[in-house]
Amino acid sequence: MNSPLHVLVTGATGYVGEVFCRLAVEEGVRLTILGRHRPAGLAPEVYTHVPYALGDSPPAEAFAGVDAVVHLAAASIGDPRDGDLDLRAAEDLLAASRACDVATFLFVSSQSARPDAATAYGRSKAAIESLLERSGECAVRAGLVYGGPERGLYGTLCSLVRVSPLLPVLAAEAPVQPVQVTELGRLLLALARRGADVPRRLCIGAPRPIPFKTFLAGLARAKSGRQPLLVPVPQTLARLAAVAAGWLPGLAGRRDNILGLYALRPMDSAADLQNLGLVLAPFDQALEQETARLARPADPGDALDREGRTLMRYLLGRRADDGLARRYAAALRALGQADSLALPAAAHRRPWQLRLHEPPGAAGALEFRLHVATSLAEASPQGAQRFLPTAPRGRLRGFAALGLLVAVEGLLLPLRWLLGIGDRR
Amino acid sequence: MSRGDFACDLAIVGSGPAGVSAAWPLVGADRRVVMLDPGVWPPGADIDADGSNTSYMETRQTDPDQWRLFFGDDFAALAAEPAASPKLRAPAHGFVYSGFAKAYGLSTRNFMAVGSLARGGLSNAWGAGAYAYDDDDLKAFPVSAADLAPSFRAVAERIGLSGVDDDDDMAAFYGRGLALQPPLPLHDNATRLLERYRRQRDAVRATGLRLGRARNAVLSRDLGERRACDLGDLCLWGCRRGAIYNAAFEVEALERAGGFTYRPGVFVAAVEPIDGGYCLRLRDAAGGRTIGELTARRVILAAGTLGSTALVGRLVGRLDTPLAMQSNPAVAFPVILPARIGAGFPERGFSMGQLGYRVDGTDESEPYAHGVLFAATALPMADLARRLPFSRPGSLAILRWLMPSMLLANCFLAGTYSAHRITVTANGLTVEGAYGATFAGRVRTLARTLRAAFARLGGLVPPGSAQVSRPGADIHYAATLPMRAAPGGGALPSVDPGCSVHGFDGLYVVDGACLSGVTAKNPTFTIMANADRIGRLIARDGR
Repeated sequence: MNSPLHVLVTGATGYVGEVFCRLAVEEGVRLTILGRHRPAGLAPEVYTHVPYALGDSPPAEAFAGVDAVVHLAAASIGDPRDGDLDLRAAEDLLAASRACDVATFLFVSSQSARPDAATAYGRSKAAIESLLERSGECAVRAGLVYGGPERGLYGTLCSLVRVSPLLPVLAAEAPVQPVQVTELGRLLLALARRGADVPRRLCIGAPRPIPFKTFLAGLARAKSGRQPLLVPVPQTLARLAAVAAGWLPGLAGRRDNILGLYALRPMDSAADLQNLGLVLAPFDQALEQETARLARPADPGDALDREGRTLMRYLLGRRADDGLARRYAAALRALGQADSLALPAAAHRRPWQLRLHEPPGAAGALEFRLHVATSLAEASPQGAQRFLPTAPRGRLRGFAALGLLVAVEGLLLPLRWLLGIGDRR
Repeated sequence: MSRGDFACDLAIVGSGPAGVSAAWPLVGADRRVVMLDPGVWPPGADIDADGSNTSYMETRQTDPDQWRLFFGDDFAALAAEPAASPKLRAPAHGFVYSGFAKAYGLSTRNFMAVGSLARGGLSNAWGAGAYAYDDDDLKAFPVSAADLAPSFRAVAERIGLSGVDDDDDMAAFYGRGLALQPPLPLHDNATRLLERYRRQRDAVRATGLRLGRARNAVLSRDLGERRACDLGDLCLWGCRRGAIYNAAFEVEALERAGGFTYRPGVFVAAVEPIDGGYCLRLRDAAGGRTIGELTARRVILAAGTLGSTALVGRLVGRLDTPLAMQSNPAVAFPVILPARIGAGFPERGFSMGQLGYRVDGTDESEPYAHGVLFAATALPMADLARRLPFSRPGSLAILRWLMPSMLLANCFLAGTYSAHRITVTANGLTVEGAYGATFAGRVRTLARTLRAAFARLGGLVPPGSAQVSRPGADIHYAATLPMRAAPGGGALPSVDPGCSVHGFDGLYVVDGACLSGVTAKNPTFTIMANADRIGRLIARDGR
């Protein structure tokens, strides 16, 4: 092909969307992104942004010259009540796409898509699937998508396995069929190139379903480095919790995820994968490789700076003045320790979490790094302001503060014992 | 033998407090005295009385480059041994310790060996506690307190001491009748503790504890070129005022007094007897390359216990034999004053001893213990934080409340509780540290006594907070060549009451090696007084 493939994407700022767009740009694909926000990780010159929200009338001119539409956006992920919105949006997008003779329309659906699905999400997906009738229109039913940026349901599961080695497992036996997000993205790109020659429906997920508890255990091993203790939660309890969660703002989507898990049925992906000639990587291997790759950053220097910023924020409770973080990296290099620790990714976003990861009483790599960071933080005007007050602050206040501090630290001790990072590199 | 055959009448090896104290009585007389010394002395080490001396607190609060002061440009202090006092890590003191182990071929086992090749020796970084041995302390010695009294007085006047002479329960213990400058003002925590002691004196003394003001070789009034302490709290990190006594300050004065030559850049590798005197084999300051020799009628060894032991050991050919060495086993612990929780850190202060205390042994056979209390202001919080079992931010938040209300204490025990062994080899020294069999038990009873006594004074010593220091961490190494009235049967020769090595006329040892033993009182001031006594004896000798 002389001119690059031109793909129009909705949901580019979502979990799968972020990875798909990155892959597309790498392959030189021209992107038109329909959505409310610009995607974060892409250079502005590689895509065209067209403001659009689900429920709007799609701008017809955006579809001109488009070879394929990849429709990832779904409102019902966040709020199940938006199932109707999703259906109308899909109708409009399909109409616009047909009007411009777009060769391929890919709709990313779900393993739980069924007219009689337990969740609005599943029912909505099935309804949209039934809209597809022309050649070139394909519903890609994806199983449990994992890997890459910790977002969406995958992100929630990652946070869960990190917080606690005691995993409450809901729907332990649910037959999940994982597919790595990068594999899914590449498949979508490959389909987009095929024009009208795409099947009506594809099931993409591990050919043999895996019990959800096995998936969680593998995820825990990869993300926290430890063997988790699985605590199965009885179904009634789980359903009750899910329903209760549904009343909390923002968690309605998670309620549907949970209920959806219980209703999950296996899909026959083996035939589709074989026809595509696609072999999916076994999920635990893929996770392990990904974790190993993430632990070795491309530029060790940057990693040490980031570690310094994180540790300084952890100790000072706020962003350190620039000099401090750089001085941390300089000190470690001067002491012959240029490697950065593999701190959990979440700790860089939320440094306070390190409180849970300091192993009590241990003299490991983290302990030494903390000592370096503390010493340097202390030896600065910012540190003096935080640690060295000169004005008296009242004895009663002191006793109260000490009591509270010791109590909180006492409660943290067992968690630190469980979650402490030893000499992990 | 005629006078011209010897390069000098008297060679003093070492420029620390002992060597300098032995030199003073000898200068000005018609002698050729040469002081040989590696003499490491970086340009920044001189007294800089007129330079800005931003206080510790001001530095911490305003200086963005303060990290250089605390860790050095190369951050070396961050990798230093955690238990070591800041004095041993302060970058300003790096020159004091560097090169020592290499020059002596020193290896250790379970022992922290600290020594110096610097001008002024370890007095560049000492704790400045100045206490006079009394007759009780001198029981094992063939000399008495009366023999040392004139020297104590002379040294006190020369180096400048500050403290109190009466109305204080520690004054007699530290020595009476000495010229004293007024004591430095105390930290509020120390004041409170002392006031409480005065109100409850009898009850506290019943536990066996006596408390009083510390006696320090720190100036509260200017003395010569040295400036009085201005409470800048930089004692641990490198004070440039000269307020803390340092033998290095006296070297120039000795030269001006006449008849005295200071010869730095020289490491004495061996002492050999020749007809009528001794020959000193000299190497460069790092102890590497041979650069020549020096002959002297008499030699005073003041190289420090480790150094003098090596020289005498090789002289008598006693190699590869473990020899007994004493030091003061030490314990460190915090004292929290709950009444002071909520106080702020003071803007000014000093980090040397505030108060001193003495603890009786539980029976006649058990010697007393002695310790000093310090304010915590200038101590790095990071060091304390890593010892607490809490998360680092939690520990720091807790210490922010606790440190202004704390005093830190050390406690030394008598040398009889130590059982170190030093072995001289052909090219080096090995020291193996050990505590005596009764040490552990003594520490337990001591901890109980101290906890009870400080509790009466309103001080809380948290359980489990007492830390026994590594053998050798006290740096009061002593008694390898002890003073004895008659030659002993030991592996190494002893020295006579005039500190002349038995069997070696004209060879003297005046540093810690010549002490007959060390009690729990820091021996430095006594070593200086004894060296002064020997200097006077030699000067009177008139040969």
